Amino acid sequence: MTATTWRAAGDQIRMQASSPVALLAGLIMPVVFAVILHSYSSAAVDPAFAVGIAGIGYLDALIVLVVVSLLGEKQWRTLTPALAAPYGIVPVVLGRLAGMTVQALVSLPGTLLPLALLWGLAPGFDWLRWLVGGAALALATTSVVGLMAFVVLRFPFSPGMTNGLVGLLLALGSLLVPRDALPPVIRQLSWLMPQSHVMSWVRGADAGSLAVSFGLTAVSLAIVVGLVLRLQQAVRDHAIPLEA
Amino acid sequence: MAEQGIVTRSLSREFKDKAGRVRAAVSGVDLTVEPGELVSVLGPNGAGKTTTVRLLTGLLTPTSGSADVGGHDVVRERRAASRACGFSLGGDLGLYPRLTALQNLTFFGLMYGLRGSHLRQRSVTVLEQMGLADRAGDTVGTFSRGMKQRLHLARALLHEPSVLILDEPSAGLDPQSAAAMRRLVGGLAEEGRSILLTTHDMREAEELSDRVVLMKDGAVHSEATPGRLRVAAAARLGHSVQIIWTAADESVPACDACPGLLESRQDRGTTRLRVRDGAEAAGWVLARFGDQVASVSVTPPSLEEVFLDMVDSR
Repeated sequence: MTATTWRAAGDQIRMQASSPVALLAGLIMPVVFAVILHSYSSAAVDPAFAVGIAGIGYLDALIVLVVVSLLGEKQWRTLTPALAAPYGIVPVVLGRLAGMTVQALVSLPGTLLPLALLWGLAPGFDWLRWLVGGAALALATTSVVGLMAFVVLRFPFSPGMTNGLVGLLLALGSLLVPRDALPPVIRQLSWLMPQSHVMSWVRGADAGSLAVSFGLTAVSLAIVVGLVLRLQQAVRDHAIPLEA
Repeated sequence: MAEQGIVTRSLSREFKDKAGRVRAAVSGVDLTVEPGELVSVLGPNGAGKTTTVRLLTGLLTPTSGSADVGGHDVVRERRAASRACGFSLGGDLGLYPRLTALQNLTFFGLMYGLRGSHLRQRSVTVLEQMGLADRAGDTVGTFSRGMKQRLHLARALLHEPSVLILDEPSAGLDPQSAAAMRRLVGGLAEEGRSILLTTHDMREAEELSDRVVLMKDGAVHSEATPGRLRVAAAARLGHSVQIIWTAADESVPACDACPGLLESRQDRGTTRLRVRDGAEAAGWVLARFGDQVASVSVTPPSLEEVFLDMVDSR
């Protein structure tokens, strides 16, 4: 099962690495966002801003990649032979998500470079928090967007599945605004989001925030696995089509 | 090679439509495929062939009854049954068009527990067996339908299963590719695997099968060797008698008085009769016109006629 997952991750990159829509979503869109945001400030780029902007890139890229990749699987009917195999579609879906995480990570250096060229890096830029926080945020974002993977697999696709998702996750993940500055209701909900704990750590909180983010990421991934297992059973019991 | 083959016991699968009405897609199917046997399942669209295949391959769970593949229950021992079974989808989907043939095979091979050099070696071997070795490095999106069908078969064979389930392997192929596919499937049967084949191609079924199962309305209508099915159907449909006359002109004798005559057609020096009893008719022809007959042959109905008779029957 593990070997299949690793291979599915590699094939995801092999098949979708040059997706122009994903590259646009992961690199250009977040930089445009950064330019708009930065017009209200003249500060140099700190790790929180850099990771938050990369986080927008992750969200955009992962949503595009989940839709493109999993709709491709449904269109090519490749999930049917996978379902007939001993471990079913779970290793394939997990592998695809792992590959998408690596693809999304391009946003981390890919957005920092233009930001640094435009406004320069803050003195004493904390590279460790940028790198570890950036990687943890990519994992956290994948685990949350993975729930959308289940929806794309389970239901016929419609654009309504993704509309508004970026804005919602951007707010709940406190990517651009510290959690304390969020409205009370959103602040409460953001505690459930692994991204918000990663961002707290990048903004200077202790390692406990990072540990909580990893815990919530694991829970979110477990929910994704549970949902895909339920989907497998539903396909077998109720003949739900895994085809587009 | 196969030790257990396929056994189903009262296998049934029901579906609910949107109005909540229950419809049986497969109803009480008892089916066996012995080790080393090739059994073809024939039936009109909606007869339950594909549902049966999906039940046997673990893509659907039965509503009632049970099925063993390679000696393993397809529900309780799903993973073991899956490992014992190679499954080939019909059509040109089910493969990754952006990956090469070799990459497709190694990916699916991993799903069945094959690893490292053994996986690569098996992939190369089955590509050679299917005549695709020279296209191993080409992306599947560039393949013809026939090549994709062969790649499906290669994937089914990758983990050396004792049971093969082939869902319309020659569907949509041109005659040359279909003949090549029949040769490949025939060769696999000779290797001793248990093979269940669904097809709409009567020639394929007749040429390849040890036994034919006719399905209708979700149930097994009849099953026997192709020859026995044809002979049994002759009692209802009659025989074809072909008479080739020594003279190839308009002067050939009329056979309107032939006993049990159902239909008569004349084409230059050949007369084709459909009669209730072929032996009796041939005897009558030889007795009446023996000196004018070059040859006479009697054949029972073709498998296609048997099939159409089943479809039309109540």
